[in-house]
Amino acid sequence: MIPPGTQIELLILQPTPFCNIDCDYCYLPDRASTTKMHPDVARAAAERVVEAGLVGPRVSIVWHAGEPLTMGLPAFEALVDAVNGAIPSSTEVTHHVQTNAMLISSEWCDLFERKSIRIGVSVDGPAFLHDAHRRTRSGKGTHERTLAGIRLLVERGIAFHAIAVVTEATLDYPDEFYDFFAPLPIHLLGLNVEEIEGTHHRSSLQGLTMKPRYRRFMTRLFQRVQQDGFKLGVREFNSAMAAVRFSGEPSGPASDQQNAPWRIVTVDCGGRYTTFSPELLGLSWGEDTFVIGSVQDTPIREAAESAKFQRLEGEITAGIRACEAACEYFQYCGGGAPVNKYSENGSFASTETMFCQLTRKVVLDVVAEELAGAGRPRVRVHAS
Amino acid sequence: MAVGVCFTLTAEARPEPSNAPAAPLAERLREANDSLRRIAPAPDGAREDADNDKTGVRWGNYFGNFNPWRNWNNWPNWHNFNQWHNF
Repeated sequence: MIPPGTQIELLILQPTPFCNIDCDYCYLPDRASTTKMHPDVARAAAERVVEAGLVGPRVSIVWHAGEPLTMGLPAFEALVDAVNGAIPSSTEVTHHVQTNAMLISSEWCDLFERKSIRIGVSVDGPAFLHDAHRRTRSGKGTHERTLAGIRLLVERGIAFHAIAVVTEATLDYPDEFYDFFAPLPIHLLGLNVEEIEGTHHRSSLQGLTMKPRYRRFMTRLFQRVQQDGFKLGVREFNSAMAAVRFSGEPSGPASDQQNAPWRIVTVDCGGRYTTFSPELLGLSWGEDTFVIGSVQDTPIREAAESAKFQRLEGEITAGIRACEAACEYFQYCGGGAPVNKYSENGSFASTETMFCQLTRKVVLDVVAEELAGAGRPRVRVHAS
Repeated sequence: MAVGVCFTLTAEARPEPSNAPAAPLAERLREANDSLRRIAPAPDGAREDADNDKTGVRWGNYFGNFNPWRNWNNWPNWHNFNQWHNF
């Protein structure tokens, strides 16, 4: 069943699996496929979440996976219009696009403004870090074209956030990394560690030596952000600082969008959908997949009653309870991301992952340490 | 020759943090919170203002564009998308 009061926060629509580049850490399968979502599928997806009673006063539609701009502008606009036509006018709909920015043109900027679309740009920092992984199929770097797209956004005054994938190569260059992002008028920077998931079976951040190196990187990055008066918003630091401010207050544990059902619904270009972690949609589950329905013929309430969904939810819940029993960070984490548990440990009913070590534990440790130190008088001892 | 020891308050860089924090997390967060309250006390009504203001409250200069009363329980923010609602 759908828990009473549940409201969808992100309806993630994958308009095409195709991507115009070939990042070596990408987890998405089929990114050479040029299949495109039909507007009827987009409309049906919106109708399903409305029909299920999941839509509240506002909802975010996220166009993500593959490179959405390869759809072409008219086809993409038709998808946006199809969704808007299916959601009651009483709901505030916000569209978001996650893009590598390489195809952004004046015409795309016109569309972003016309439809109030919010933009997330994938950029890994300075060229030597970005181009190490984000390359074309012929092996060429993409930084220059991404920056050209960013320049267009800036010239047009279109706000955007950035997501940077942090790999081992990033860890030795916190200052260069910060100096790249600090002057950009970005709304927020999110750090995505190179994860083990989907078709990406290994991460350069695996291994015993990585955690202390990652910690040193985050410490230096936090110091730079702090020295500049937090002008650069970093998702991980913002969340950890909020956790610090609320520590000691009576409240329930943090919740995680990814481990509660129906807060995220992800639909692929053919209409197949799932919930929990969006990345699950492309993965296999033994001989099966994590698809729990099709927007063309499976109401969400029906999917929520299925044995497959019940099994998935049961295993994810067991993993949350195991985290609660075992981990002092649970109050500030909420039990972890299912896709990372599954991809790293082979089971949802498991606990610690590399992902949670780096994105939760290290971040909280660093922010707590640095903020505590900021208010502590320093004592220097010297002989005279 | 006289040898003495003097203690001086400085703002020098602190030693690199250890990799294995010794104190329990709750204790370390409490110390960080106490520190924050000393260096960046919240103005009266900051939390209520934040709840009522969709654009967020700019809390003095210390936090720049970040309002720590918002975003709680918002760790995951899958790829940042919900963060937009917090500003």
